[in-house]
Amino acid sequence: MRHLSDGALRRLYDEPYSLDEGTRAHYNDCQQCQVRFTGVAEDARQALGLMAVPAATVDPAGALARLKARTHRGTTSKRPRVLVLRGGLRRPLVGGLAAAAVAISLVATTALTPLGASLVQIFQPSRIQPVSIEQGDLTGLDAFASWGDVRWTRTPELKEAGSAAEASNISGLPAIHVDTSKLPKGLAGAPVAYAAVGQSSGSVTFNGKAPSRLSGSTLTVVVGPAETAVYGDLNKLAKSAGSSGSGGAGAEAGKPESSSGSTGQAADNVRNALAAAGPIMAIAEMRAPQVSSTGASVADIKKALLAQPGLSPTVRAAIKSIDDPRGTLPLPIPSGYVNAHTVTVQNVDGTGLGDNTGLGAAVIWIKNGRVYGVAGTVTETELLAIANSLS
Amino acid sequence: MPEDPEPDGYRPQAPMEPFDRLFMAEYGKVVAVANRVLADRAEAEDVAQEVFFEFHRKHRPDASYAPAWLHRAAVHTSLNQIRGKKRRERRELADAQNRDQAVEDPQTVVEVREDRRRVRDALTRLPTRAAAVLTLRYSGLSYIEVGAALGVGAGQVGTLLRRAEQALRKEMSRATSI
Repeated sequence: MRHLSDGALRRLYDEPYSLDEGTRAHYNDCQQCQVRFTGVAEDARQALGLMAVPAATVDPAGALARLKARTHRGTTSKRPRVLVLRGGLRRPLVGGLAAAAVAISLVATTALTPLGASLVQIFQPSRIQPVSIEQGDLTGLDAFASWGDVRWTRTPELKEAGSAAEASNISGLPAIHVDTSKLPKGLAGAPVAYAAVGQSSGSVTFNGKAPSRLSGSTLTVVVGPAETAVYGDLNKLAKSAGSSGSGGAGAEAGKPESSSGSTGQAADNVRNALAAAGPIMAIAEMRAPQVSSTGASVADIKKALLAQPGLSPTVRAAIKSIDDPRGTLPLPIPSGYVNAHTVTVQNVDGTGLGDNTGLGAAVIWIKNGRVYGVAGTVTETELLAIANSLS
Repeated sequence: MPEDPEPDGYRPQAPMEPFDRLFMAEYGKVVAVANRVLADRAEAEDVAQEVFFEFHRKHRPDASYAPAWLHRAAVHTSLNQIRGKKRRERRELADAQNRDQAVEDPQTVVEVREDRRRVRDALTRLPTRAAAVLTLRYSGLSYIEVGAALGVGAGQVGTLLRRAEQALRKEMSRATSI
């Protein structure tokens, strides 16, 4: 058989299963093609680095509404500049207006709330407690959604980074430094994608439907900044995820899609996608979320939630376990899918999430005011080795 | 205690119009393609609005070629945009005046910005098809989608991509050595 063309080798890098069996068999036996593949792969990796840009997170529904308004007007005006406070604002004028709007809203919030007052930090978790929940366990918390509307005051924005140092510069957190000798087999030499997410915040002002001890108070939650390093071939994962999902190869080939949409089928799709993509491991570091309040305390909120009828014993216990100001953050875990247990990592208690479906594992812990997570399609032992090697 | 709120959020949604379905399915990809060239989300969203507006005026939303048309239009519109010298200068001026996050190391910011500018310039010097295949592929489109947008078979995409990557590397080396 003839050697693989450059184009075939290039596709082998991105979509290995698109080539026929004969071609793949030739490649597996042909040292010359394998050597050429190394060069092709190196060029591809270099191009990937060059073509990297900050990711664009979009709101398709909002964009569609803008387009419809425009088509109804029949004009050619473009997207209105939405006042969203985010990192890296491109336009000084918009940035200034956004900053002014947020400053005004903050002043208005503090001046007009009944408690009048300064924003006091009431909670910042220092440890995580996994809570195994059943599907119906959260039913009793439905009323909470009607107590006030959540408003983003600063939206999260993901930015790709070219290196751990660049991600660190964007996030302001210490760079993720991995001892590469601890990398699981199959990930040594794997491509690494870095990204950072700026700080985001949201607030909720409790309305008249909320219990009286909360009504009028504004809670503000600040999340992030965060940074991640993902080891593995994400292009391959995206491709295999597309092939395994309902809109993937099966759909393209005109095969009927399952109408059941069952969890088992979805889990199979995810498992197949991950298996085809090869090992993937993500490391994340995030400043621990902080909750501030203009009045209501953690005790007030706990009391109000615990007064709700229909809470399951599990959720009731989880709410009770929240203690301020630097206490436990309950982490809801779907019962039956994930086995959660305590592990020791970096000399503190953490949570190990062993996945009973065979999809992978994760380790999460909080240290020095930061939340860390390591997850991937590798064993928990391997993840712990990486987690303990982080410096 | 307050009374239970009105139940909400469980109403069955009306079926979407064909154009709405197309928009919701493809908007993210179209913005990603434009953003890959422009490295600016706001400009990328402007390009996406233009592209969908043009498509809406001239084509049927259920046309089989719709996604390919949108992807191709996104890459060509974006490439045309960075080829406009005045717009590029304005954008670079805006870049230089912004990125004011205190946490970023100024030296790193300057280097990253300069790298992106060099890549954008290199893309403008490449043949359009080479720039297009790089943009489409690195925006996450599959070989089938890239081939459809460029009007070639998926089997040819690897060849085009390989050549384009080599050309990009040469352009970048040439720019560095000047």
